[in-house]
Amino acid sequence: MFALIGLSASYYLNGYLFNAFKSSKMYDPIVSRSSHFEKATRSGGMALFFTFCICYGLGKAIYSMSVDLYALISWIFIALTGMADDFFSIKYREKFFLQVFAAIVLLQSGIYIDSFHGVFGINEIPLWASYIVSVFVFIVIVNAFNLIDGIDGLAALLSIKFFLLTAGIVTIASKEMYLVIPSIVGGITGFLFFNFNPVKKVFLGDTGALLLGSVITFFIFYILDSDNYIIADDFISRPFMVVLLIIYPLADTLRASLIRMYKGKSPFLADRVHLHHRLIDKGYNHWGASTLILGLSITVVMVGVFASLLLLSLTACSLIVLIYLTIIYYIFFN
Amino acid sequence: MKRLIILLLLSSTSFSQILDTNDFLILEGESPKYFYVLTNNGYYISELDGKNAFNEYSEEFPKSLNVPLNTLIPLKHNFQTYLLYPGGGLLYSFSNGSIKRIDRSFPHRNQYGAYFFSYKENIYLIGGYGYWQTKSIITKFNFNNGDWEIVNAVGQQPMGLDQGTYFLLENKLYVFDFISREINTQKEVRNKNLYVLDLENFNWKKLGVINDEIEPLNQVKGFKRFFKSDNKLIFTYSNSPKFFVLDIENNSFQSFRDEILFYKSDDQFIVKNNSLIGPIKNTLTGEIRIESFDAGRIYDFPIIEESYFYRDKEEFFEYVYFALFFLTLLIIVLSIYHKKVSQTYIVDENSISISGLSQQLSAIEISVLSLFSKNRIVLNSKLMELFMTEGKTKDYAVKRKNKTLISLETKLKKSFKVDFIKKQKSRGDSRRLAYILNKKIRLIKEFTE
Repeated sequence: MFALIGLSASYYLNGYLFNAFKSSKMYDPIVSRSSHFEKATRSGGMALFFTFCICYGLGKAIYSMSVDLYALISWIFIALTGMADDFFSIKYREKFFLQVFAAIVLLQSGIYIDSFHGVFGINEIPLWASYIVSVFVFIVIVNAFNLIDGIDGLAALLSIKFFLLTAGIVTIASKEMYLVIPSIVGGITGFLFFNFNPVKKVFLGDTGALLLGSVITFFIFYILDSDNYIIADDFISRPFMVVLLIIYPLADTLRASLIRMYKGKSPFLADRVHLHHRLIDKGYNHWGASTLILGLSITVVMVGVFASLLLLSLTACSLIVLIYLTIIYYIFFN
Repeated sequence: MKRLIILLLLSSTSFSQILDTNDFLILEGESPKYFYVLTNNGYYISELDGKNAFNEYSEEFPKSLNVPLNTLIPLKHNFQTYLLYPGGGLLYSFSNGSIKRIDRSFPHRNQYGAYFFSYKENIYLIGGYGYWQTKSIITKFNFNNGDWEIVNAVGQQPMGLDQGTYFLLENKLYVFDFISREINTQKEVRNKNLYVLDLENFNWKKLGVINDEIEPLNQVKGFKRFFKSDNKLIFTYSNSPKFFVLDIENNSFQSFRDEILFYKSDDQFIVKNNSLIGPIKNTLTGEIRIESFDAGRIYDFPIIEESYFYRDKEEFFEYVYFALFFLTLLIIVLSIYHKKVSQTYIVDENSISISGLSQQLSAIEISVLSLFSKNRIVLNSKLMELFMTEGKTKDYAVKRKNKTLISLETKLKKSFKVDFIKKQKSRGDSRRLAYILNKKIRLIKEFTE
């Protein structure tokens, strides 16, 4: 039901905000890096944010839906940062500090990475290290989702995949939070109908990409926080599962940053070295490229989970996934 | 009275004992044949066949025992009956007709509402409320020095365990439906998860979220009673005309309708030889009777609800399958939608574009395409109007039109790899020529106002 509420609210709000932006001629500027030539607005993130507000209000009132207050504040703060960037194009350094602040607020929820769960032979880590690692992971994931928002539907579809595959874990573990996921999935689905619409084209913008990234990071913290019960513990390592769930944003960001550094450029420079740009340059349209990446990232999850179910060690599982990623790269992206 | 009569009819034994006091405590006793009912004046040795004998205590109560008897928490451990002072600390034993204090501690007042249980050679007290905080501590009584010791637990320990429902099965202590209070606001939060404590290594584990469709855990209720019977937990709430049977090993939960057995009865119950023994108060006369009921017949009551108790792996995999199904469905729906809108081209003042592709066009070419954005079929005469120029011949206009259309079609074919405009005879009048836009293509004119 909450998915339907989210879908309806998002569909209405996206249409409404598109018209509002259009009447003010607030279109996304078309630059050399742009993969689109239609007039499009960056109102998708705002619509998503309002959709979540509506769903949360209803969920809180009717079904005792609840997310930690600090997490909510952090999400709102990051959404406002995104809005500021969409409207005024704030500098990267300023955006970075605002993201660090949002990460620190999120840590106040008491949900953060407090253990490596056996990765590198490390389990529980000191509080100060937890904070540093958590802030770093927050910055990386939030920006990774922002960076993959380069073609239609990609960030949205990969977010839906993340939320759907995480829904089972959260539903088992937290009665208060599981309604968050259908609300967001509904909201993103409503947005997708506009994202692929050439006449009323809507982009997530920084608001949407940063908001989705921060919500995803919160759920990743939830999974990696050793205080929380995660039903998948019996058959898969938590960090391994998290990496599988966000494999494309992580792999793409890492690859793009390495290429830029190799070329002596800033790793944060905006350009067209992303894997999805490569697909577009190879002749895929946006829909084809996004669904291909979505399908491939699901197969990566399947390979990883299957390797884990075979009771292989974490190193062996990681190696199998790495080999599979290399094969995928050479078949589809090379 | 009607309730009492039905109860008496349902009772498998003829046992019935009248008490003349409200302050009493029922104890299991050492033998399977009898149990004790302690009162302030003396105690009854009650046999299951209905006989009972009143005895006076062989010694006076210890001075420290300054609370009503029914507030003491009884526990049978190694054929010995222990009585715990409310809040923990003081511990008494009842044997040979007397209550003796056996601890060297003090009233802790730290674990009101805690669960008192025995495991192997030790007795433990877990959770409770005291000094404005709900506790999740575990204390163990040291029989050698008479003091209580804190047991260190690890794992996913719940924060505060007050008024919980406990179920001890082999070396596992299951806990659910407990209250935690926020330290600052004292706001009560009813926890909706199932936890298990491994009593071998005192490792806590959160097993999962309790099925939210189970009614009792959603309600505010009175005091609850729970006891183990045949490896299942039976629990009831004083304000609910139902009782519940939990089979934790099979993750199943049953709810039974009951308006005569537990409903509005006291919170004291013991299970003896598969019989439930507890007090029933006649609401008309105020008379309290100890009655017994064959626990084997508990399943004769009508089942009103049956479901899984907590969400476990089965539910998890159901969600995963649903997620994959939903994702597939979403992709199909979006594919259909995308197919529908994918051939929609936007024509603006100087170009035509579609997702990711754009082609610059001349003003006259834009004008031609604009005609097709209004009508899929454009008559030659209508198209010619664009090319007619004052002072120029019609022949010149025709040549310009043909040249423009060929140039436009070439550009569009090269950019988008699709045929756009075809020439054919008008359906209404074969003498007239018409131009038709490819039926798969939709043109939208988006001129800046």
